[in-house]
Amino acid sequence: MPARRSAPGLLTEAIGKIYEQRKELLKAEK
Amino acid sequence: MQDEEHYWKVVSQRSCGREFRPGFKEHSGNYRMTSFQAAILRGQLAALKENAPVIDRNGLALDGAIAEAPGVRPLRRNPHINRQCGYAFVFLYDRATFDGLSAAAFRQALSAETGVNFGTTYTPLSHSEVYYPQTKKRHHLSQSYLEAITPSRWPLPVTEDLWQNAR
Repeated sequence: MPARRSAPGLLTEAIGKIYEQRKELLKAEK
Repeated sequence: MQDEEHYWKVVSQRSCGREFRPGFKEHSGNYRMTSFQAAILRGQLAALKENAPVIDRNGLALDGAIAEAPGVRPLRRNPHINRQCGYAFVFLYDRATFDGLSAAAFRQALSAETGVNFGTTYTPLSHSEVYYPQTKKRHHLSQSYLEAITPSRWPLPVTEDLWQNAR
């Protein structure tokens, strides 16, 4: 059973994911 | 309240300017609380005592999460305030770090990722759909007065930018 994630941890992770995806998207467009 | 004179002024002011203590009369309207409101408030005050420290701890934890993430910043905390108001959790977004991604698109992505809705500020009064003081009869004093109190006449570029882009 996976460990229960904390809300702050999820928030940091979600913003990091959006940041990475944005970078990837722009790289792909170039 | 530390100042007793101030206390009696407030007591008088909330109760139509009655003189509960000789010499303290503040002409006013009726701002007295009803018994029903007082009963509700007593329950809420009891809950506040328990909830406020929890809300504060949660806010600090979320601030910490924001401080670790790229392109966002927690709001500055004044060291003289020992418990920040926990009405809503707010942080700053830097569009440039996300290569120009609009704040609206960022909010949408973050809401989708977390399952929690992230919104912007309240609508500025100059764009409010319900705040029209100029439509009230009592303000119909003159055309120039009506024009002066019409909220939409104010150009508020900084407010509008914060509202739309929350940069």
